Amino acid sequence: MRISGALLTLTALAALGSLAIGPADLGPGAIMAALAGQGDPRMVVIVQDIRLPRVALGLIVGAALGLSGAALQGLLRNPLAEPGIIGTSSAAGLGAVIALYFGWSSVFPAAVPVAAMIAAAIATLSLVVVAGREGDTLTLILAGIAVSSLAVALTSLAMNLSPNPFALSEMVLWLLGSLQDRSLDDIALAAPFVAAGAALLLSTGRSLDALTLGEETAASLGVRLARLRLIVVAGTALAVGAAVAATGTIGFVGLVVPHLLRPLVRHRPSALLIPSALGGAVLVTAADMVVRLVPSTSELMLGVVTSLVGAPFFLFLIFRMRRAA
Amino acid sequence: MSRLELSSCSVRLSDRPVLHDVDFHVAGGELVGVLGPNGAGKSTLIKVLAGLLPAPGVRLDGHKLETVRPAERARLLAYMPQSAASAWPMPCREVVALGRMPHRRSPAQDRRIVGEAMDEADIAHLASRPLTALSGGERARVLLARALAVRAPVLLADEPVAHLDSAHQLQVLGLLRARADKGDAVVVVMHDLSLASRHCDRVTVLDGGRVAASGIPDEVLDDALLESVFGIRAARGECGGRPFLLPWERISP
Repeated sequence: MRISGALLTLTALAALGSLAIGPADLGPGAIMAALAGQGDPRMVVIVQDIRLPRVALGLIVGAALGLSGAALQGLLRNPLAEPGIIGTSSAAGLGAVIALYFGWSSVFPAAVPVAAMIAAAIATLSLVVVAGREGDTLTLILAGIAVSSLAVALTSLAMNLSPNPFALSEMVLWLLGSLQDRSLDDIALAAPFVAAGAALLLSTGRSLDALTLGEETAASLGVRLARLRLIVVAGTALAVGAAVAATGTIGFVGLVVPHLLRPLVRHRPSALLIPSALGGAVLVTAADMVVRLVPSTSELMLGVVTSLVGAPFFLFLIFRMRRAA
Repeated sequence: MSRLELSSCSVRLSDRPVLHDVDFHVAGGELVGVLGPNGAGKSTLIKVLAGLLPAPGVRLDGHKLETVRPAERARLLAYMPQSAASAWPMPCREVVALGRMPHRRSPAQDRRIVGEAMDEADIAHLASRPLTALSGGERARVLLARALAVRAPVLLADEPVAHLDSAHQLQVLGLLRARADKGDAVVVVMHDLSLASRHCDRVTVLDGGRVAASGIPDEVLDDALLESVFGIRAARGECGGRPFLLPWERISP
């Protein structure tokens, strides 16, 4: 509880800090006033229409990724499980690109997130079926590589065959991930699905605790394993699929955040879920601040930044697990 | 008093027959040992009894086990698996507290029962240590405490004393005996024939998935059975007016 409180404060601070970044120089007082719709009308437009969607989407996507990472790690009993590493995110990206490629989104606005969620569900389910039982790291990572390579290859194929350069540039975005130029419409499209996925994932806490001692013990404690797997797969697919459809793939958030927070909750998977959602929100918001503060000719892509930090961390985790084994 | 029974049960695992026409029963107040050489089907039998391997013919207090809801079954049957690696370095107190999961009682009562279970298994001093950092014997006692914390009327333990030193073997068997004396039905898979004959009310000996013999230990574990099932000869004696046996030498086949 205390950890969640501290993380909540941190989330609020990160959100405020992120709202303060931009060409127009606004102090905390001016931001609060603009959020409330008071003061200079131009500032109100800047804060409410330009900055707020970006910050809010960052919080939503970060929470989705952090929470999904924590739940997947609990289900697979493996600290390396993460939507990006096991291919859920790249599959969701593929789904989004397919919806774009065939122009479904012009017919049905939710086509991109829906396609992303379906693809994410297929990828996560196949992974849980292949690697879910034993919690064996090698199988998990290899299956993840296979799923994610296939998704990336198919995404590249779609780009390769892309009918026009405009569509191509839009597809590239899904591979790199960014919070740039998002509107409240994007949030309205992502938030309900992320919320539904989060609700599913948050309901699994006690069952994930029981799984700590393996599937037999969990089953003897009354956990219905098939149902639990389905809930985690569906929750992850909803949350990550909708998040990726809105921002593209932002990797490693679900790996880094639960890992850092786990010792603070005495390694209990159930106690890790809410802090991981909050921590994910903080991390994505902070990374998005870095993206905008680093001086460069064109804005850095958020997914590139999180991967630059996350990939070495992933290697470090593997190294540590090998030493422990 | 609970009664768990199994009638003419056959189980195939990946198309290999593991149990064949097995009958078994345990009632409240009894400590029943399941014995047999490696691969005889002991762990399969106890998993069937625990409802973890679906098999027809298991009845708990007269009800078919497969019709009992998992949440209800978890309150009635406590199961301690042969090995359980912990995925996370969770402190032992939290591990034992998992045993309270099937119950939705007050946190205060749960804490009290968790404390009692840890005292019974002699692991109170390990409460804040991570399970992953313990020795095999300590870990086995923590896992037993986890099963005891369920406070189920039926306790099924798969080799609870395999990794323990002699003092703790006797302590754990004394503990299981005490649970039986309080009215619980206790089933223990074990390898140690001396301990089984000393502590169990009844034993069931499995051989190649079939029941080779079943009954009071002193009558079941005779020379002919030890030779045919286990391929050993035992030394026998008496201590405090009670017979005991000690596996003595292997009979070359």
